[in-house]
Formats: sequence, structure tokens, C-alpha cells
Amino acid sequence: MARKVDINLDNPIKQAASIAKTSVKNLKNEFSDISKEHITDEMIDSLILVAINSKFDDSPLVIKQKIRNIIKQKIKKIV
Amino acid sequence: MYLKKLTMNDFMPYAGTQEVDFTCDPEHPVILIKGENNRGKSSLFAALRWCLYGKAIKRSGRSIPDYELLNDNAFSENRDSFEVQLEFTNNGDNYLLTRSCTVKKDAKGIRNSSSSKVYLFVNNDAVPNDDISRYVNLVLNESISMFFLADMEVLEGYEALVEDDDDASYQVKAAIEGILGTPTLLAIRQSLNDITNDTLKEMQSARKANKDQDQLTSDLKIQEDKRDKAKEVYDDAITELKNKKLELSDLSDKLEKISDSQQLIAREKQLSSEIVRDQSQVDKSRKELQIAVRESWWAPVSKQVEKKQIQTQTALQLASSRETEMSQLQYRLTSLEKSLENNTCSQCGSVLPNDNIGTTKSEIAEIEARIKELSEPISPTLQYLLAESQRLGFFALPRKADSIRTLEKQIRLLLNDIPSRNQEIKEIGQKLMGINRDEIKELEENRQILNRRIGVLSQIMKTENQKIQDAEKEINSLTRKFSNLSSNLGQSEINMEMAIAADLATVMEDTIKAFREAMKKRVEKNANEIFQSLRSENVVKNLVINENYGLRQVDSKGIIFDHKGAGVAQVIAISLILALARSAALPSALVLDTPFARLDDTHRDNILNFLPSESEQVILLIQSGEKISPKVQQQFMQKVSKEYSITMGSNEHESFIRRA
Repeated sequence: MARKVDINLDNPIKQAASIAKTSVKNLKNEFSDISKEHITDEMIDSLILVAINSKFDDSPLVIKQKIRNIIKQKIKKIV
Repeated sequence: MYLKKLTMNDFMPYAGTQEVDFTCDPEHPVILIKGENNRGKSSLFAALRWCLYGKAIKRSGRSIPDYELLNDNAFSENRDSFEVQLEFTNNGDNYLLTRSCTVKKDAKGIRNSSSSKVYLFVNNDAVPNDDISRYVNLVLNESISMFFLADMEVLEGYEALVEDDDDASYQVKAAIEGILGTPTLLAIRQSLNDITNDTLKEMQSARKANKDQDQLTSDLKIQEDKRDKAKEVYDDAITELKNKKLELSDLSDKLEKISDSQQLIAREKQLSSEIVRDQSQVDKSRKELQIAVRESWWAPVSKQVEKKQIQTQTALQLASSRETEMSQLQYRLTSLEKSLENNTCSQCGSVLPNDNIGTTKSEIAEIEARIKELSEPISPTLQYLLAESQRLGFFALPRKADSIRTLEKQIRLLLNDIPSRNQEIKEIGQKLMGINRDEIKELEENRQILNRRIGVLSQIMKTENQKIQDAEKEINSLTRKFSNLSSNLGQSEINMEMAIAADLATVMEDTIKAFREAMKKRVEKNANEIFQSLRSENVVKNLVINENYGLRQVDSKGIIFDHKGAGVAQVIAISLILALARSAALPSALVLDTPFARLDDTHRDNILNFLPSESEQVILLIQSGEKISPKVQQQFMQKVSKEYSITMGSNEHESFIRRA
């Protein structure tokens, strides 16, 4: 049987999520107080999910709106 | 992207309609297409590329004009169009791409131009024509198509990645990163930057809104002050108006009681006014009369002219009568002198009696005396009179007599009325004896003052009322603006969004950098794994990847080792292709044209063993006589789903592809 390589099981973009989470830990000291409080692994996962689910027809505006909604929802939860 | 079906119609050597079914299952991922040299393997490969990108390129790198792609037999049989249709799937979506071309020929019958059309349906929905190229490139970017539609006889493209830093290499690099998913992360980073910019603008807008809010508050205060002040003035005016109307009412009552006297006074006033008016008119007429009289000094001149004219006419008549008389007298004198000379009657011709001679002589003497008298010049002379009459004619002006008469009459009439009016005034004075005229006058003046004030107050009320309305309107408008501004102000939230977006953008920047490195390492690792599986000797230990995703060899000591044969270069290229396929965000078919061209038996066997496990669809175009060692063949052929062979038709311009 053809090896179903690790393409689907190990999507590179999914790997980006773990890279980004590491980056958050590394950069946290440079964040603003607001970001320190709000940028979490959950938010990074949501962000990467937007990347994974983006389609051909998704214009930059659509992606931007999706991301902004993620940030707004996070803020609302806290507020 | 996985291919499902290719349909060619009069494309290159494929005369008529020919189909290739690429469907396969994971157990048997290989589609094998065999053919002799120059039979049409590369043409089939070209059909895929032409259908996807509208370009057919020879191995020399020269692009083939579309009109040359029409099958020669079809052209000679006057068919002028060809078509390629490709069905494929990508990420669960079904694509049907059709590209057709109509060829035109010149007067000599040589084909020289063409026009093509392309249609794309995704899940049975038509894609707008302008978007087709974008869609196709998103499925398989043309720049990296060489990794999935790989012509293994042309290795320059892969080797260029190692050495070149030109635009083409960068495009390939960008396209490789496209396979790996970097653009998606770049899009996220870009969106975060955009959000940062947007929120910054919103913050600036909010700050401006704050300023606007202050301004609005100030404007509102001004308008409210205006309204309050106008209301105050309006209320004062109403109060005063009420008072004035009461005063006016009292005054009117008083004036009512003395209305008779008031009427008499009014009549007296009217008469006085008429007298003054008439007197004024008289004065005016008198002045006009004086002017008319003064201007009438010309009258004597006119009379003199008239007199002279009469005198001249009389003189003319006199002169005329004297001339007539003179003529008659001359005639009579001549007759009498002739009669006297002949002693005959001048009328009847009879002999004159002696007594008549004396009479005739006497008459002649009288006539001569009269003629002498008539010959004396008229005094003044006729010429003088004519000249004088003409000269005085220049001074003749219309006479003012009529005007003077009219004015005199007018003055008389006006003066006639004045005594009667004076008489009436006198009588009124007698009736008003004992009445306090000053009091009546004062009351009347007061009423006039009150009426004027009431008029002014009404005007004030009207003006102030308008001011109040204007101020209220402005206050409403400002309040609305104020309300809008207030609802837009969510400064703290915007500020939080901006801060988070900015920090996330930094995270993504860092992530992309790390992701690129990770992906390169991943491709390098995969390429090394594959390379180790494919290589046949131990000279080269490893491959290292560069910025462009080009692969170089390093020897056992880790030193870059670029001296490689064509076969090794091909193995490295295949290693890169397969490594990218392994690392790709979305899986794809591999189409390899003549993958074994430069390989020795060992490498070929290794690749044949290895390839079926690298993709769910591997399409190999190989030479018919390709040697495959028996130990590999059995295992490899078990992976083959379909096998096609390309054969020559009735002539060299005709090839057929058939299931073997």
C-alpha cells in the first residue's frame, strides 16, 4: 500500500501553531500588559485555524475580519 | 491535486479524440505510460501543461506557438481546431478544465495564427474567465509545476535553485514556500499588521472624536445660551406688550370720549394742511410764472419779425403792382407818341383832330411823370426788407403767452379756496373754545408712541422666536452628533485590540522565520532520507539545502561537493521533488516524464522501488524498451493500476494511446 506520507497527518501549518506558541513564550516579556494577559495558546490555535481553513476565495479582508473577531471575542470574555 | 482524466482532440500527434483515464487506488498508485522515442510521451506531458497554463514548451526551452499544436493530419483534412480537457481533484473539489484553440491560415494555406478559449468548472460551477488562471495557479503554481509535472530530461531548473539568485529562482522559492504553506502564515501576519493599522486609525479617529466632542459641547453651550437669551428677550417683550396693550386700551377709551373734538381738531388740521399745501402750490406756480414772463422778452423780437414780414409782403405786392403799372404806362406812352407822330388815333387809326394833339401831349407828359415816379426805389428797399426778414427769423421763439395764462389761472383758483378754508378753521376754533387741545394732542401722541412700541415689540417677539427655533434646531443637530460620537467611542477596546494585534504580528513574524527554517530543515531531512534510499554508492553522504531550496552534496567530512554526474544530478532532483511532495501542505500527484533517462540500472531500480510509496498517484512516462530488473519488476508492477502504450498510426503524424 502506498505510504500516505505524513502530509495530512502532520500538516506544516499545524506545526506553525507549536512554533508560534513557542514564539509567544519567548517574546512575552516584550509584550504590552494587555497582550501578556490576552495572548494565549487558545488564541494562537484560533489564529492558525483561520490559516488552515482559509480558501481560495478568502480575500485578505475576510481573513482580517476573522482574526479581528478572534481578538474581540477574547477581549469581551475578559471585559 | 490528483488527475482523473485527460481528453485530447487533434492535439499534436494525437489525431482525433483520445482519452487517458488516470484514476487509481492507493494500493495501485502507479499509471505507466510507455512509448517509443518521438511517439508522443512528451506531447502528452505537453498536453497537461498546455491545458493547465496555456503554454507548451519544448525541451530546448522554446515555447511552441499554439497553431503548431494542431495535429498535422487534422490540418491537412481541413480541421482547424484542437482541444485538451483535464479532470482533476484538489482538496476535495472537482475541477473540469477545458482549453481549445482554433488555428487560422494565410492565403497560401500556411497556419500562422490562432485564438484560444478556456473554461473551468469547479464542482460544476463555472469560474469567471478572468479568475481561471488564478484558480489553476492556486491548485498548482506554474512556477513549481516542475516539481509535480517533472520532465526529468531537463534538470536545469532544479540545478538553477542551487546557483541562481535571479527573479526566476525567487519565484520558484516563493512557489515552494507556497506548497509548504508559508503564504498562509504571511497572510495572517499581513492581516495582523492591517488590524494594527486599522485600530491605530480608529484610535486616532477616536481622539479626533474626543476633540470633536469638546467642540460639540462648546457649540451646544453657545446654542443653549443663544436660546436662553432669546427666550428671555421674548418673555420680556411679551410682558411689555401686554402692558402696552393695556395702556393703549386706556388711551383709546379716553380718546373715544373726546372723539367729536378730536374730529374737529382733525378737520382743522386737515384744512390747515390743505392751506399750506395750496399756498405751497401757489408759490410754486408764481415762480413758474415769473420764469415764463422772464422768458417772454423774446416776444418783441417775434413781433418785429412779424412786422418785417408783413412789411416785406406789402412791399412785394407794391413792387409787383408798380411793375404792372409801369408796363401799362410804357405801352400807353409808346402808343401816344406814335399817334402824335402819325397824327392818327392809336386805337382806331383815324386822323386826330387838332384839339386832341394837345391832350395827347398832356397825357404823355403825365405818363412820363408817373413813370419817373414809379422808377424811384421803394424805401426801404425790397432787398433790404427780404434780408432783414430772413435774419430776424432766426430769433423767433414760441411765445409763453399760453403758459403764462395757464399759470395765472391756476394761481387764481388756488387763492380762491384759501379764504373759505380759513373761514372753516375760524368756525372750528369757535367750536373748540374751552377744550384743552394740548391734552388731546398729548393723548394722541401717546397713542402713536404706544402703537409704534407695540409694533416694535411684535417684531422683537418674531425675531426672538425665530432665534429660539434656530437654536433648538442647532441643539438637536449637535446632540445627534454628540450621541454618534459617544457611541463610536470604545477607546479602551480599540486600544486593547491594537496592542494585541501588534504583538501577535510580532509573534507571526518570528513564527514565519522559524517556520521557514523548520520547513527547509524538513525538506532537507526528507531529501536526505530519499537520497539515501536512492543512491547507489557511498561517495556522497548528505545533501544540504540553501536559501532557494536548492540541494547540494556534502561529502563525508561535510564539505560541499558539487562534482556530480548527470545521473546523480537526476537523483538529487528526484529527491527534492519527492521531499517537497512529502512536506507539502496539500498532497499531489507526481507526473514524471522519462525519469530514468540518465540513470544506471541500480538507481532506476531504486527509484522504481521507492516511487510508489511517495504519492497516492504516480504517473510515469517511460520508454517502451526501458529495462527493469526482474527482481524489481514483479514488485513494481504490483503497484501499477493502469498501463498505456503509445503507438504510431498510419503515418508519423499520428499517434494513439491505448490501454496495454
